[in-house]
Amino acid sequence: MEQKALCANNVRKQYKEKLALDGVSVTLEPGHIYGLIGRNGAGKTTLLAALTAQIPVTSGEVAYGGEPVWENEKALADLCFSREIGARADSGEAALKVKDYLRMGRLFYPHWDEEYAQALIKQFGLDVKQKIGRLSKGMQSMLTIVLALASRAPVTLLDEPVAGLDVVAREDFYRLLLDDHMATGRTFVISTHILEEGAAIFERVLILKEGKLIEDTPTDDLLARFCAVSGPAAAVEAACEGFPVLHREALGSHASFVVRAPAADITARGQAVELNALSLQKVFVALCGHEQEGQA
Amino acid sequence: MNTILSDQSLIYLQIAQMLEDGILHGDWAEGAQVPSTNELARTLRINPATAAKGINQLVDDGILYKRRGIGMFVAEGAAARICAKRRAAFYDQFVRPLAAEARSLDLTREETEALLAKAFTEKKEG
Amino acid sequence: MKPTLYFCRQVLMYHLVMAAAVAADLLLVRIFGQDSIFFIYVNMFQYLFIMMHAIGTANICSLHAKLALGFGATRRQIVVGYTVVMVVSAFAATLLSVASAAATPLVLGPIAEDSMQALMGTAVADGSLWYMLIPMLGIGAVFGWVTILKNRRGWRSVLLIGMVMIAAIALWLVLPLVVLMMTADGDSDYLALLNIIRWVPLVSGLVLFAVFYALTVRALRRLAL
Repeated sequence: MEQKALCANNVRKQYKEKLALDGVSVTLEPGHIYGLIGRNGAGKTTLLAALTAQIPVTSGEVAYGGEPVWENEKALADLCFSREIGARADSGEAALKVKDYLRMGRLFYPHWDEEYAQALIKQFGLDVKQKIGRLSKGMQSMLTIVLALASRAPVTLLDEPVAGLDVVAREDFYRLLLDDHMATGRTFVISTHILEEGAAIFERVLILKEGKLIEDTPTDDLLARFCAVSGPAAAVEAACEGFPVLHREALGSHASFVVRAPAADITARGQAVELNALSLQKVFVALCGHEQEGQA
Repeated sequence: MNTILSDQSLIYLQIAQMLEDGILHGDWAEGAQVPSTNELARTLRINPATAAKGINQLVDDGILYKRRGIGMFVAEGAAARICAKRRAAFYDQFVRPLAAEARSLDLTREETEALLAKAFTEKKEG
Repeated sequence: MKPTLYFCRQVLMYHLVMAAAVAADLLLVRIFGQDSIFFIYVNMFQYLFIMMHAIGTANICSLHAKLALGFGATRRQIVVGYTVVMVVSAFAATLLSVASAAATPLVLGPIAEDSMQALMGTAVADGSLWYMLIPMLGIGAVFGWVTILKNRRGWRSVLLIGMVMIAAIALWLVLPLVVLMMTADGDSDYLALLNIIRWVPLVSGLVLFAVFYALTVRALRRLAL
């Protein structure tokens, strides 16, 4: 399968009152799993829709393998954007049956793998005769996952696929995703705000904040920029001196800081402190949650 | 998160460490084939690129070598090299924290050394 | 090509259900007689139902146009598919109506000349193709296009189109009823009247069409097609 990169170049999307995307440029290289994270309303869905030409952009362009995606049958045939169903429960597809939805996939996605779809349906226990609107949130998520995986599209974008899933189903999903990724080398973009498993799955993280892409970084590199420092308060203070401290906790003479500094720089201070890496979730909170960076 | 990996350090470092541990303990002898990137990714539910990064670090350290089209193998003298590397870090990583903890518990140097000696005999018996 | 086939498939099902409904109603009249309630529905099917049919078809198309967009169809494909289906559907609906009008006396036997059925039946048969086809195409097209246009043009223009559409439906619906009332005593030459008013929907349909195409061309230009 020949693989091409999907690029957004300075994409802006202005809704009536809101600037949903503010000059986003990103290149999705083939063969990677990207995590698209951001708070609610940060523009995740808008970005995914713009990347697949489902909404017109205000300015900027999206290209696949160097060719514009807009109204480009060849490019669109290689892309799959599996939307979150639950978010639009009152719209048309709620009245469709599961099998009708999947039939659309079979009809519209040229790389569709019916055998795979059937196997996934069986595994998830989806009732194909049920109307989509009557499925539980978890089942709706599973339907979007079946659609995305079975599309076999070289570039597949999933919008909040794990939102309605419990931890067991999430692990199942990520296992399926990795198996498929290893077997086919497809590119995946997964938007989510549930980050527990993310660090292990996403090779790169894209972080959207208020319509701006603030990070497009390999997950490891992003995590390596932060560390948690704990130990005697004086030692922690000395070790973190001069670095932006994002979060501090003190309990008696023991202190624990989250600091934006590579672990090596802290170690170099020679203080007797314990260093730990941060989870992706904590890094995300540090980047998108705390506006008062550097303050006490 | 699965049971083998933790949030506490970067995943590729944990992969490298895990393989090093295995080689030190003799799970993989010199010249033996270690699990492939895909096997690691599937078992640990991690991105294969991350697994590859861990493995590549060991290749750079001369602990593993690649046989094109076959897989990754433990290099000659790998265990010794790991041993030397870890010995260099042993003082900072284990001995200093041990002494610090002993001090805060008001254990004297003699008492601590006696405990160490005891641990060594237990280890031998075990 | 894919959206075209897909739309056709969706609409075909709708046509089949409609045809079955007409046939079932005729059968019911046959069983329960011309003085039963089912008799009224024969006219409904032949006259009003055909419009419901148009709206239903358009609704299906607009829903599936949106879905198809989500499944990676281009806007151009959707436009082609949509137009083809509306035209095919209009002819199919007309055919269905004519067939049911022709089948009515066959199934029911002679119908009294001064009955409401005769009046309505003639309106359909006489106003015939144009009377049904044009508004149907216009209404249907607007319905479907609303979905596509509103991606680009705010809700205000959608409302405007909606109002024009409702006015067209009202005109189409009300005029025959006016004729019906005026000719209730049976002396007026309702056929002459019909000959005049049947041009009204034709003209309004054409105007609607022109507006719709102007908007479409503008939208397409903006969509960079």
